[in-house]
Amino acid sequence: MSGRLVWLALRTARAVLWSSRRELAAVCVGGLVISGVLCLSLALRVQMAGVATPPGMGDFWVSVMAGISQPYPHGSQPTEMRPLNIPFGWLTVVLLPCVLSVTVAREDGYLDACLVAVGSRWSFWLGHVVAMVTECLLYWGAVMACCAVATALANGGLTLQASSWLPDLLPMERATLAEAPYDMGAGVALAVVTSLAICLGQLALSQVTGVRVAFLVAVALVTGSLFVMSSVLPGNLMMAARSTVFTVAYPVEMRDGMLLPGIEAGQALLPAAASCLLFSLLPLVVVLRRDYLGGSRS
Amino acid sequence: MSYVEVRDICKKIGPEQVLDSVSFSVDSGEVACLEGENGSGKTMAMRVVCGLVRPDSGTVEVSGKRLWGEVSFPPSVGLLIETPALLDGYNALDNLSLLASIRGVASKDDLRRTIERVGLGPAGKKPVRKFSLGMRQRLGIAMAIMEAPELLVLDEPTNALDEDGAALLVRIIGEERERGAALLVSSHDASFIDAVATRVYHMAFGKVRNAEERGGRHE
Repeated sequence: MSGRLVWLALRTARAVLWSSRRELAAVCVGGLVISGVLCLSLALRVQMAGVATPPGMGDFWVSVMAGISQPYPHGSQPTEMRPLNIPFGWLTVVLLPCVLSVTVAREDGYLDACLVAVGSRWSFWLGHVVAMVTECLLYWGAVMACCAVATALANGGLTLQASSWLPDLLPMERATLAEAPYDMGAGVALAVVTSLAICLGQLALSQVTGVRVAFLVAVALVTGSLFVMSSVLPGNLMMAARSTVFTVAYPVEMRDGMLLPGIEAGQALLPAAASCLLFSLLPLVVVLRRDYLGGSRS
Repeated sequence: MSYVEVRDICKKIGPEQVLDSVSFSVDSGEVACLEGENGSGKTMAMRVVCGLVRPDSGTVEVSGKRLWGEVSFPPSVGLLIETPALLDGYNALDNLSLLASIRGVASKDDLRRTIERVGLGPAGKKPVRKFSLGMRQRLGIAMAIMEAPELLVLDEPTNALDEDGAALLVRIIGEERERGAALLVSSHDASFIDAVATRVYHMAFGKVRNAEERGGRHE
């Protein structure tokens, strides 16, 4: 690809980012508020439990990314029935970036004008991918910043290691197969990369189905992971992001009768990154040929 | 050779033949008008010329280069197709700046002059969401002409304009034509077409029925 096409892609990304900066700010504020509440919740639990060591950044990160136990039993005869406890905080933090994908894909005449101004469908699409990646990283950066501030206020350490007392403190699993110390580095990377894969997948789908349908599909995929255990569902990968701490203390029966402990964060990174690459390049097949029909076809 | 050469383009969307062997041309310094009822294929023809829609058959050449072959889009084009493409939360200058930043051809002063030229002036400082329909249309016209393109594609540009706005538009089209731009304009307003057109293509049911040379008064 020539330098000019890359230059145009970067210019497109800048225009897309600038045009959606207010929505980006609103989503980041939303993420900050919710992760702030979840961090505060952990801080209060720590205080009430009288834990000796202050919570570190890894603890706050896990508290923000704490969904339900992972993996959740699947199949007609689960090994152990547990009540469904929908993690609204986690769900909101994970779903907010899907709103960013809607603002990047936008469906109005502005997109037509941008496309013609760019003069290259390659650059136009790659500009959108760059904008999407930037927005996603800014969002997760804001969530991480919130965890860092909470850590600083709690006088904890700014490391990504979760404390040994954490599994007993969060209301998910009272026991864990994993042993301290819990290094959350791979978990953090997995959460960000999986979120990016969801957003890029949604952006790609919106080129075919429109932004509304793509948004609903993304929401359904993430929410579905609360009910069905499958590494195909990105929500389960997001939950695997903190399975370093919460690997359930009992075997879970899968569809094929195997007993599995859960998804390893490190192993899940590869398919998540591959999905990002796929969703960045595959839509070119559509974008290079699609018609931009606007609102009417008179 | 004309600046824009459209030859025998056809486009089917679903079961509907939207364009059926449409041919026309636009020279530099000329205002070619597509005239016809709603649904006659004017907007689709303009989308094809802009590179937004790929015809099923036929060719489009702009400035001697074939679209969907040598180039993807016309090299220098300003467009207003259907409703103006605006970001409601931003003022007129921000809207123009954002689009102009992609090519980097027009300076801030150029953009300010363009806003004055379409008669928005101080009113352009408020967010576009507070604009009337006529003001939005004026800003859409500004967006099309801001980079002094070689080709201007204006779809129903008189929509929502008052009498003064329509007169201003006729003057702007005349100025752009004198600058040497090729203009492709669609309208169903006969008096507007009389005022600006140097050539008129009458369209109906996705076909060009006939072509007619005109003078173009530019009041």
